Amino acid sequence: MTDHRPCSPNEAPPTPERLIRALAALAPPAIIVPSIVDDAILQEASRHLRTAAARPAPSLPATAQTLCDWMRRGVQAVAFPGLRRLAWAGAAAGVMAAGWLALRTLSVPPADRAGDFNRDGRVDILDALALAQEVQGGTRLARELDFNRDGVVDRHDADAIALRAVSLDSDATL
Amino acid sequence: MMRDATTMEPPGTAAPEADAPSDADLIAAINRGDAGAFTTLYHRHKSWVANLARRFTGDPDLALDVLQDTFLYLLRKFPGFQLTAQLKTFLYPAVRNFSIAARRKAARYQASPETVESALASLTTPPMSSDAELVAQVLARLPEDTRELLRLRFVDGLKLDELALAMDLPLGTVKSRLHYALQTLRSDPHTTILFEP
Repeated sequence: MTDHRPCSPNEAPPTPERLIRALAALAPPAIIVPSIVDDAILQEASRHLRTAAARPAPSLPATAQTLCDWMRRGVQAVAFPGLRRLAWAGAAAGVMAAGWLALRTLSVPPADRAGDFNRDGRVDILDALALAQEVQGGTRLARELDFNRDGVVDRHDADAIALRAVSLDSDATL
Repeated sequence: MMRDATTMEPPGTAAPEADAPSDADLIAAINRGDAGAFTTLYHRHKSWVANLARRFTGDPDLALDVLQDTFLYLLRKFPGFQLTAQLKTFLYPAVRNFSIAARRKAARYQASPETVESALASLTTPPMSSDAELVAQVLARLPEDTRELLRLRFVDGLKLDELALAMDLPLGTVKSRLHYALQTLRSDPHTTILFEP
């Protein structure tokens, strides 16, 4: 009688051991890999890994790496290979849109909000931390974020925001 | 005796010992430049790759070429390779594509006496069990893709989602083809005996 129970993704119909043994017996005798082939592959592996260790591995900034991991996990969650390609395209489009929005946001901060990096209406230590993280991560930042007006956006701007945020006589609220 | 094919140990595959590092552990070590980890990974999978390549090429010498191509292809992924499924799922399409290329390349050259001999030797198979002979008769009527699915599932032990990834097929297609193949074997008068308890 045919079993019509619903299957989980990895459930296969019960299979008799006798059939499995017969299928295995159909395979030709196993190939013995000669040691000369082993040696050639493993020597090349040793050489390649030594060379690779000598040069710094290209790495994405931590935030980008995390984003890639999220995308990969999200796409892998899609069950069907056909839909997975669509999911990759969607994820890529989402990242491009987010990048465009982020660039747009960073490039046109209102002049009267200098220092309010996270745009919560206040200049506080959170802005300093957020800016410091972006600077450390190598993010290209808009010149409008030059809080101390020294011509460059760097950790000194984060320090200046932090100083202003913790100074007792400043009015940090915009 | 019936058993759930999803939990079986694939025959002929040397599963790593309980305390042996997993493929993911080995890959993490290789990413750190550990050549010893690559050696372990290679010895764990080389027989499967070589035999799969022989299935595709039909020639043991070409299979060894494909073995080298496949592991050098894997090697070039380091450092930075991330395992997102079972390693066999990653290796399977590589073996298939390298095998197709090797067969095309081999077909361009006239066969030398040595290669003719090796081809003839590869055709010499040991005597099959009566069960295997019966199964072979029925399998001959199935499409090659479906036969390959049966081999990967029941001989190599890939799970259904890994099969779908490896063969770039929707999971539903993998399931329906397997059901069709098993149903064919079950209903055929030659092989229905294999399904009896």
